Order: sequence, then C-alpha cells, then structure tokens
Amino acid sequence: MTHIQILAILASLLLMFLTVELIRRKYLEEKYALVWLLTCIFFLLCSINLEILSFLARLTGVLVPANFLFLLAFFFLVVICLSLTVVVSRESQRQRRLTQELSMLKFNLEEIKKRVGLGGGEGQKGSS
Amino acid sequence: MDKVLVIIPAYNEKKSIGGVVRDVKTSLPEADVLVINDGSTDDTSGEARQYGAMVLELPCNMGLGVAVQSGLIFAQDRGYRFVARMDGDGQHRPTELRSLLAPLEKGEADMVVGSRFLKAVSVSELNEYKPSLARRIGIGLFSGLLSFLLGTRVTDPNSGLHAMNHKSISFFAKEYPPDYPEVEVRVMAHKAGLVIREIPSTMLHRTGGASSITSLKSVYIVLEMLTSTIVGMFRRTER
Repeated sequence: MTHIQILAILASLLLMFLTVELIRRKYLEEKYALVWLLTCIFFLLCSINLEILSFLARLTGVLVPANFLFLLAFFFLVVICLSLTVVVSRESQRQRRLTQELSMLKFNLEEIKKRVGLGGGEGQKGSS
Repeated sequence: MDKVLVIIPAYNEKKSIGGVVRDVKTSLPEADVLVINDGSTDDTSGEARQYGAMVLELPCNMGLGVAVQSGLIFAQDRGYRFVARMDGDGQHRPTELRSLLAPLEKGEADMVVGSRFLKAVSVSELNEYKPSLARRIGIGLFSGLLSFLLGTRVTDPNSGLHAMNHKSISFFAKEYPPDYPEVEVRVMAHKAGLVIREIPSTMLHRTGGASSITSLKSVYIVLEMLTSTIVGMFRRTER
C-alpha cells in the first residue's frame, strides 16, 4: 500500500465522518446527505482498490486513470451546483409566499386590534 | 358602486409617496389606496398612512413583482372588482387612472396598460418623460419581440401602469413574475387568454428617490427578461 493510498483512505474516512456528524447535528438533512455518503463510499472503494479506477478509465477510453477521476469530480460538482440552485429557487418561492401571507395577517391583525380598541393601531411602531 | 383598489408598490419612496397617495385620492375619491411597503428602510409606511392609504408591510425587500402580487392577493381577498397599479415615485399621473379603468368597466378588456409611446390627442406636458438612448433600445427590443411573439402590437412592454379586472386579478394573484415583471406579465396574460388593451399615457420625471435599475445591472436585466419572455412562451399555463 502506497503513501498516497493511505492518505486517500484517510481523507475519504474523514469526509464520511464529517458527513455523518453533520447529519447527527441536524446541519444536513438526510435527503441531501445520501448523495454525500454515496460519494464517500465511492472514494473509499477507489482508494482501497486502485483497480476500480483503472478499470473505469479503460472502459470509457480515458488514458490516465487520474483524469477519469477529475472528469467524474467535475461532472459531480456541476450536478450538485445545479441541484443546489434548484433548491434555492424553490426555497425563495416559498419565502415569497410566506412573506405575502405574513403581510396579510399583519394587516388583518392591526385592523382587528383597532376595531376592538386595543390601541396600538397601524404604524405606531413605524418601520424606521 | 364598483370597488376599486389602487396599489402602489414602494421601496424607499418617503419623499414622493405622500404626494402620490394624495393625488390618487383627489383624482379617484371612490377608490381605496393600498401602498405595499417592500421592506423600505425609510418611513414610507408612515408617510403613506398619513395621507390616508392602507399599508401592507413586507418584512424584507422582496422585489417589485412580489410586492405587486401581494397587492393582488389583498384585492382578491377583499373582493375588489378592479385593481390599478402605479408607481410610488410620482412618474405616473393619477389623473389617468380613470381612463385606465374605463375599458374594464365597459367590459372591453381584462387588462389595461398605459403606454408612454401611444400618442394621446394632446401632448402638452412640459415635464414629459424622455427615456435615455439605452433605455429606448431596450424598450424597442422588447416591444418588437413581444409584438412578434404575441401577434399584436405592443408599444410599451415596460410600462408599470396597469389596470386589471377580476379575471386578471385572480389569475395574477396565483402567479406573478418576481423580478422585472412587466414584460413577462404580458406574455402570461396573452397565454392565459386575457384581453389586453393599451391606452396612451404620459409619464413624468421622478419626483424623488432613485431608479431601481443601475446601468451596470441593466445588461443582465435585459438578458434575464429576454430569457423569461422566451421561456415563458413555452411554459405551461393553467387557464
């Protein structure tokens, strides 16, 4: 086993540990975590058995196995980025809806307060 | 009496909003005025209330389209029959609201747009709006594109002076483009089978505040609007 191999195994294990830890602390939701866990497992397998990468490289006609890894990593990152912007767009749509709901609720509440005579009323707090 | 709501989206328009609300109230006394404060950092709300407008507060700056849509949701919720939308910077003339609403009342259109480039019988404004060259190119580009895509003459695709009847209100309360909405609104309305009418209007120079569009951003904005227009043509729409 070469030094670089040991290093790769350690790095994969570290990434996996980090992912699991993030899930455990609820910083990362399970549905997003699965992709990362699978990636860790793939990295780990590749660093334990170097033949996997060479085999995949031969299969796709890439001359140097390392280049195959780069290609894979690049595609993977592009897909991740795209899916992240999808998530962000969906979240901002929800945020818009919530903002609008909130403003309506606030308006109705102020109106009711005024009608009941609870004082306060509109704009006492101002927005500045 | 028909219930009319005038909605005015405003972001940091403290200087001009009071005058706009007052003028709307004078020109169209039967209408209710709703200012949508799009997360202003100044006292836009207080100023608007002082002149008798209702104020809908968005907790943070969400963009013009979101503010307009909030106003439409409000109108739908409270059963207003017609909605007119105008800017809070004093560029639109409240005296034109009545002619804007007229085609809706007669049932000739579902949506009316005030066009700066349709010539009225008398153009005598000293203060008439003259867009910069870059803006004219942009407007020309979109009016050409829209006229081609929609198959009708569109003279002012960027006008923010709109009036809607109930059919349009309920359609746009459900979905409204969040950023730079004017062009896409025309495409959506067309696809939803709403009858749009343009009428001549004059636009004044702003009385306060600054344009929301800076020159650096404008190229990106044009590309963004171009994309949304073309993609919009192929989007599925529920009728």
